[in-house]
Amino acid sequence: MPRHNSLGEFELMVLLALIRLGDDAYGVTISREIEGCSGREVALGSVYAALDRLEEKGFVRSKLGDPTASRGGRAKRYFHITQHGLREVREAQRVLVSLWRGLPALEGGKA
Amino acid sequence: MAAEAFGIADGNAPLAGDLLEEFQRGRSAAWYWRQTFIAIATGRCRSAWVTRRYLGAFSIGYAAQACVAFILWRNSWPPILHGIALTTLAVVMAILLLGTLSRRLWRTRDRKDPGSGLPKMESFLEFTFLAVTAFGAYLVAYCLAALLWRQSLGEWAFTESIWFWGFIVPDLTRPRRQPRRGR
Repeated sequence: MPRHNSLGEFELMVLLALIRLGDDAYGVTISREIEGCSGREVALGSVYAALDRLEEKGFVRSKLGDPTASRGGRAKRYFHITQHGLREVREAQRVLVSLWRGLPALEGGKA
Repeated sequence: MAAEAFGIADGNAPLAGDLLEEFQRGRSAAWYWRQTFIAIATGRCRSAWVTRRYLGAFSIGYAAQACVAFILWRNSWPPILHGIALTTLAVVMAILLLGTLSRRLWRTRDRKDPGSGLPKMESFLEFTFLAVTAFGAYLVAYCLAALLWRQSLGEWAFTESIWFWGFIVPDLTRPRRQPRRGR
């Protein structure tokens, strides 16, 4: 049975995008970052749903910026990863790397 | 905007702003509507998931109330009524006090160390708090009504339903917590 706080694939992608973006991480930039890396269209609603889950788990924190006219007077919601979130990403990396290691079928990018 | 019409933007204005920003940067109308409907769908699912805990708590409280009400009715209440009413009132007041204090305590500690697993404890406390409050509030009201107005069980069942749905329905439409402004 999975742990309550374990990361799903999409949640891990969102956390990695947050780390890559630094201070400029909000809905649009996060979804663009994931789209750029994965080559797939990402739904903003799914990104926010994942971010809400991650915030509840204590992996990310959010702050509202100032409202802008170009967004219909709505503020941006900026996200940043917490220390706890960073630890969880490192743990996910460790597990995935150990699982990948020593698999001849996946070496050299061949599946 | 559709997100506002469905009530999603009320709790998530930044998401509505992001959709508008992307649309104004040249995304197609098809993209905009597709994204809006996904946002509405995921928003609704998320809301239902969050309120499931509250529904569970109130359902347990409601079931416990029904059992106690039946026992009181079967035992013709009067001899034991005063004792039960006073004891329940004391227990409920104590739980209300302890529950509120505990939640504040856990929240304060949770902010300091979000990785300590305390959110789970907070959820548990919140669930127990709601279940016991639902149970206790009804029981006290039930005893008082029986004492003051000598209501029958049938009459009370009607008012009980109103009370129950009066709590559940507003909770389903409860606005979500907003992040603090900063930066």
